[in-house]
Amino acid sequence: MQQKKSPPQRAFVLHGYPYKETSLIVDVFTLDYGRLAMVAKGAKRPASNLRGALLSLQPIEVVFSGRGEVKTMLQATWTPGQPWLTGRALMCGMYLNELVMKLLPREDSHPLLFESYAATLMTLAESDEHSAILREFETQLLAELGYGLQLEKDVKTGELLQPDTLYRYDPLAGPMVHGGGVLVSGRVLLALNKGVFEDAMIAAEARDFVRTIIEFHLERKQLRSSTVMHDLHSLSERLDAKPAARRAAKKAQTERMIIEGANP
Amino acid sequence: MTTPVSFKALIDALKALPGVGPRTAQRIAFELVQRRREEASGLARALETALEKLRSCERCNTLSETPICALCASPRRDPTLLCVVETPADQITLEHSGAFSGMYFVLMGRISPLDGIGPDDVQLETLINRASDGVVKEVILATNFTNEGEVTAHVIGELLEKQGVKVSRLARGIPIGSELEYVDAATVAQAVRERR
Ligand SMILES: [Zn+2]
Repeated sequence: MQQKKSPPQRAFVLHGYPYKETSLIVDVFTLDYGRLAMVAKGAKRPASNLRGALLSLQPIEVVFSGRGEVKTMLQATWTPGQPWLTGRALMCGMYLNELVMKLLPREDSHPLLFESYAATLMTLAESDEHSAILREFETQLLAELGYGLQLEKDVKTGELLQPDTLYRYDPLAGPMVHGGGVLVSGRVLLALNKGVFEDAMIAAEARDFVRTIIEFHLERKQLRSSTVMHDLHSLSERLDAKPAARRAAKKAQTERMIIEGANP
Repeated sequence: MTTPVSFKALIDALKALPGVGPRTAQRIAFELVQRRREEASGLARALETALEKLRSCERCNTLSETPICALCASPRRDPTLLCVVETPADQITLEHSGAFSGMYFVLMGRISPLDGIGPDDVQLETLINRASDGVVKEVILATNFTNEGEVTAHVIGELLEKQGVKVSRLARGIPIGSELEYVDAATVAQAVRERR
């Protein structure tokens, strides 16, 4: 089966699924070909030249062949530059991967989105402003898919959005004072437009608003990472509820960390 | 020919196994009931006995025939150290290293947000209660160095620190006896970053 090899592609593994003893089926985001499914035969063997297939959230270079739905990975080499994500940044990275997997159709080329994904991973590693970073990527992703958020004007009247006005946001049209859709304040929409969230309340409202719009476009698909984060948050609360002196002592400090970590 | 009910039931049972599709299930079913009847009944007996006898150890969550497994019941282990691993195989590897003489907690998996595997699937609440019993002084996180293993370690670490329990993470590095030239670049990069 002599098949044409792809040129080397910059790529990121979004997620891997175990396949037979030492192989994987991987969901790969490539620069020029978009999201592709590939089989990485024997990738788990120590000497395999497909070891890069095991690393998500790290840039790799892949060569593949095949024209069917599942390509054959021929080479996957780790490339340096992206710091390893840890802790909360790592959870954010996994959430990004799920967004791309669930929203981006297969074999749709999105080089701009690829670059913004790569840049987002870099900023996640370098900055603690995780919420703002996620909101920015979410809005870029929606725009790239043709579902761009309207964050400047009332789409019915053409008037500039006012911070103190409440709007109805129609996921397919945009914000309007009179109409149907998600209830959201002008302040939140303007904050999203600037990418600057003045306080935790606005940041949380912006997160919930964008999440609602994303869920609309996901149709019935569930974001598993959100469910897991939610379960972690409930576990954390359950443990806090147990009476124990030393738990109470450290509670205030770490509660903040967990809440932020649970809901980036 | 119509498929006998019991044969269809066997195929359905086999299909429930990970990685077994309808065709493989049918092939195995034929093999078991036609050519390997003796092995098949051995398998049935072994499965029944295992299901009857095996449970999770109350202390470390690994498979055990007694409520508390032999390792957890041993007076020679240091009860102030608790090492968290993903699988019994990882536990065996650590035991072979001879470097650890404390107790274990086996998660029987790891948190994997993209697969929908969360805290309840790996008995996190049992672990936190076990680790904050007042006897354990330090918890060593020995989950894998994959993103899922890292997330699992991070989550456990946060929850335990809140309980006032000291937490440490297994160090990673270049395999002993290996020459740098043959170590994969990602591992070398990590070793440089975590140099001492
Ligand atoms: Zn035990």
